[in-house]
Amino acid sequence: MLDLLALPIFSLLVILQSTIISRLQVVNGSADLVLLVIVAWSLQERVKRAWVWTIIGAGMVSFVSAVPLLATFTGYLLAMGLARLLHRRIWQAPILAMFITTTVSSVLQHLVALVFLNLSGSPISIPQAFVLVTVPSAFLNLILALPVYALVTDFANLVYPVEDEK
Amino acid sequence: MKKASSNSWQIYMVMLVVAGLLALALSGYLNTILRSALSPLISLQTWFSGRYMAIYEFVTVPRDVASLRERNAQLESENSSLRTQIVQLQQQLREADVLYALLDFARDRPENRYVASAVIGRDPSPFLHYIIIDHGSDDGLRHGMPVVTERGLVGRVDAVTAGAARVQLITDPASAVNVRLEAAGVEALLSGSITGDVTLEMVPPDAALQTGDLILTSGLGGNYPPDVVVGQVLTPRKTSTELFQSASVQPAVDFTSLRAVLVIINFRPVNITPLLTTPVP
Repeated sequence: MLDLLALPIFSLLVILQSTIISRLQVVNGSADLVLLVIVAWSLQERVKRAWVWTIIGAGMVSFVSAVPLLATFTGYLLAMGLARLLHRRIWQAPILAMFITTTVSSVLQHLVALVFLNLSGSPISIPQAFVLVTVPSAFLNLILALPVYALVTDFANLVYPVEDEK
Repeated sequence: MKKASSNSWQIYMVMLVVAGLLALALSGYLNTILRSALSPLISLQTWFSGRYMAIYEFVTVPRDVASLRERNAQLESENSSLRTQIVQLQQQLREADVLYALLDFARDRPENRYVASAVIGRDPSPFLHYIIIDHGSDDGLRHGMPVVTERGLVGRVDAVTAGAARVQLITDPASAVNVRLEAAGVEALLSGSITGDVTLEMVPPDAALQTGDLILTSGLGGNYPPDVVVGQVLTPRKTSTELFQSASVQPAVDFTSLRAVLVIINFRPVNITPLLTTPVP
């Protein structure tokens, strides 16, 4: 039932992304709030079904974006998988995991999108896109990673409160 | 008897002294003495009066300060509200200017039917150049309809919902528009890129390309109506090793500050896909 909270949250995030964040560009890249929230949520200790949030987030984005549906879902699910994997490996340093996952998943997600866009007929040069879009986007995502992680952690603590030890 | 006579003398003496003093006062001889005597009294009274007023103000003025502060807060609130109204009115004025320009454009072309729409968002992906507008199929918008402003071509409708639509801009990497160079009288292809730059390609090598040449839609392919302004040639490029010339283009529309657009709803794109020859295996 708590997973349904993802619907209003991702609706708001997609609106913010579409109206504000996508206009704030460095070179040609922009931050991806949905990706950051998915990664931060997947890194939370008490979150068991991060894939539900990922699918809801990807669905919301693909409703607005012209990027092929499969590329959006693949990119976000890869980011979630990477976050869960790193969470198990370096659970003592979640902030470090957040930074690593954000960087790697930004690059992975863009590569997936580029491959799918090229396959669907958009002649985008991958090296050019990497320099002009992916690197600046990863940089912006890294800047926003810490505040987003803090907010998502607070929210996770609110939704899944720690039980008192008796 | 002796006591009564002594009292009378005392009264006479007192009356005499008083009369003398009065005479001296009236004649002005006592002014210096009186001034010296009254001066400390006046100072004392001034001091008392000053202290009294200070205490009075201490008791009464805070009430005035409180009321002044309240009034000040009220005026500040009113001021801030008026400032907000000014900003809102300025914004409305800018929107009205844009709408008037669009209206003038629409009036100049009575053969077309337009739906004016506000730009409400952009595609979240930084690779693509799409905008989201606030009108959809409920307002008669369909896939493929051309989108323009009073300055020129914006793009075409790519996806439609009941209340909104997504428009592919001519700056999108997947966009290709058949255009015509007005001065040279030749046809070419206009394509976008991930940086938002627009390039003119497939220009015949013998065409005289010059900076500032006007670029219009040719109507070929049936995706856009003919003779819509697209932009101007910025930097022509001609190399001996390439079959065609190319040029960078300055679009007529400023895509960074796009607020409102017009969708041409009586133009239906022609689907020529069945007419294209397919390679025989």
